[in-house]
Amino acid sequence: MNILIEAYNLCKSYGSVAAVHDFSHRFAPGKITTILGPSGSGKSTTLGMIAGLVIPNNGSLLLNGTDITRLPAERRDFGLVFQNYSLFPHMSVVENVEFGLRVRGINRTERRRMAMAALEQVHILHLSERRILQISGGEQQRVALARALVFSPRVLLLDEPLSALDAKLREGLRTELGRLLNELSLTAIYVTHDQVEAMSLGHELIIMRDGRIEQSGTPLEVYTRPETPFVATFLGSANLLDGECLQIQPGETRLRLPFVEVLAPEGAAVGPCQVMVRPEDVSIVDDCDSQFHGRVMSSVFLGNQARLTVTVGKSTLTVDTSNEEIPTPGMMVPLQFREAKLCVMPKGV
Amino acid sequence: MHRNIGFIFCLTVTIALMAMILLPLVVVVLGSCINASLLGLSTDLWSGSLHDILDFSAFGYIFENYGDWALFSLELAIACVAICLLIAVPAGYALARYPFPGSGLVEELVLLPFSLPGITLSMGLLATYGELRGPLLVLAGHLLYTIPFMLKVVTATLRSFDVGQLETAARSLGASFPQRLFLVVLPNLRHAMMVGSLLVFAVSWGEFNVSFLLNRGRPQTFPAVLYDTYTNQSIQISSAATTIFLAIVIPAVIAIQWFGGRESVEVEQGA
Repeated sequence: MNILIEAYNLCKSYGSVAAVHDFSHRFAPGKITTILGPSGSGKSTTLGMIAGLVIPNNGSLLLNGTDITRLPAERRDFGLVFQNYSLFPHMSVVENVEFGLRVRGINRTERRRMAMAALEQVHILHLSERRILQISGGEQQRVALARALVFSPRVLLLDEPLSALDAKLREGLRTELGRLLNELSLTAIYVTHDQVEAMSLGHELIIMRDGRIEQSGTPLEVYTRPETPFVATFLGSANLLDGECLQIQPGETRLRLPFVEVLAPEGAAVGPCQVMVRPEDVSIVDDCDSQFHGRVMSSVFLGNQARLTVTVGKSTLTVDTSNEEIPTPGMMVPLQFREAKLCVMPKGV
Repeated sequence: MHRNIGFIFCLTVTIALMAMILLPLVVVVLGSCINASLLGLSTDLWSGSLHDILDFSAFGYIFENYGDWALFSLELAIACVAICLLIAVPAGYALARYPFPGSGLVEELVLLPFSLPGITLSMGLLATYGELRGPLLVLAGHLLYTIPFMLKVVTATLRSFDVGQLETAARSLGASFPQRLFLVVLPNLRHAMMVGSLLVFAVSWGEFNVSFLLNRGRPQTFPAVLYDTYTNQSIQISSAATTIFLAIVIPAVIAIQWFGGRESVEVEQGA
């Protein structure tokens, strides 16, 4: 059962502050779409509009082609998982899970059976009779997930569901959540400010900034081909350099950077531009293969790799290198760009 | 060693204080059933049993002569509880859940009767609703003193956990407004309503000034029985009246402590 959600020009402002502006997107049916953005970027407001908890000022929301913009949240049949769990403190674990079935008038035995199955799905069947205050944060989030899934929601919406958990627990639960959502092939929309969650869970990724969609696409596309410097620096680390594309002769465009000139990537427009290169796409090479040299200003050992800060002329580059031979500050190192990974963006975006 | 001395000092002070508070109550309770004149402690003209040391006839006298007063007071207190639940709970919910410009002021204004002497309040009520003087106006006076208790308990509880967030969760699960109210909001308010009801009951049961001033003729409220018997009757009879008064109010106070304690434990665990 693949549910298609389409948003057209959703707008929401609070007073004179526009929280979300012209949000249009077609959410991939049966897939997980992650919405990533800094706080205040409007991602939670967008989710609220999709959930029916926030009434948009403008725009429309379609569910399999039917307009549901004004349909109240309680009649949408969407599952919702919150950052702070929002479990009912006066009910036991299983009673919490049964809630959605209870308000749908499903009889006691049937709903108990379904709730127990949902608890088993999230591996906490043994906690069914506990009170909410007697279980840990990770267990509470599992209850919240079971509660949102038990009535077979048409769409599952998750608002930073793992943010309140500690790092180790978050990682484990993230993997499990990804597996579960993929098994169910539910249309899911997952809001987060954690880029690892956004990239690892999402089949599709939307980056928001100041209430607008900055870029959307598969996580790989967005990571390797950011369209704006904001996306480049927000998703992972990035070196941004000013450059210019010059047409040498028809069919040959060169990219001039402050300290080196390389063949321009295909499709790069002629004129001033900004160039993004990821730290992992600058390599320390043998002298004969090098495109330029840089002086190591600092090196930080990160366990699986080392991160160097290198100055080349007046520019500073961040370079990731293996942890085998870590250059020390002061050393000159021969460097090379992986030219295929250079990403050219128009200037002034 | 110092700590021991400090501890003994504190314990002594506490015991002395407790004795100061409790001793009069013990004397009153004993005085209600012990024939003081037989012990040679009194020259009361009370004509109860002339032979028994232990003598409960004063209670019979109270029930016979003031039974309708006690009943009136109980009815008044129960009516106060019912009306407070009907008015102050929804009002508290509205104030806590949907604050509006000036709602803080409204909450403070509700507390105003506490800072006014009963006589001022009564005069105000008499001047405004003089023709209603009687049980109805007494009830109105009691409500002015009891609604703030219920309102405060309800708003404080609603603010101690995020009821709005729980309601949102319930909405997302498909619950309509009545379902959210009866399955989520009210169950989380049951302690607050219990504590509030007991407070309202105890305050109404013990209220004297307003009841005395706003009522017309008989029956008066039960605290007026105390006034009446202490001014006109023997110590044993007034002690019996006081004992009956305490028998009602003390369990209520203990229950408030008990429920209040449970409430704060739950809130702490929830936080």
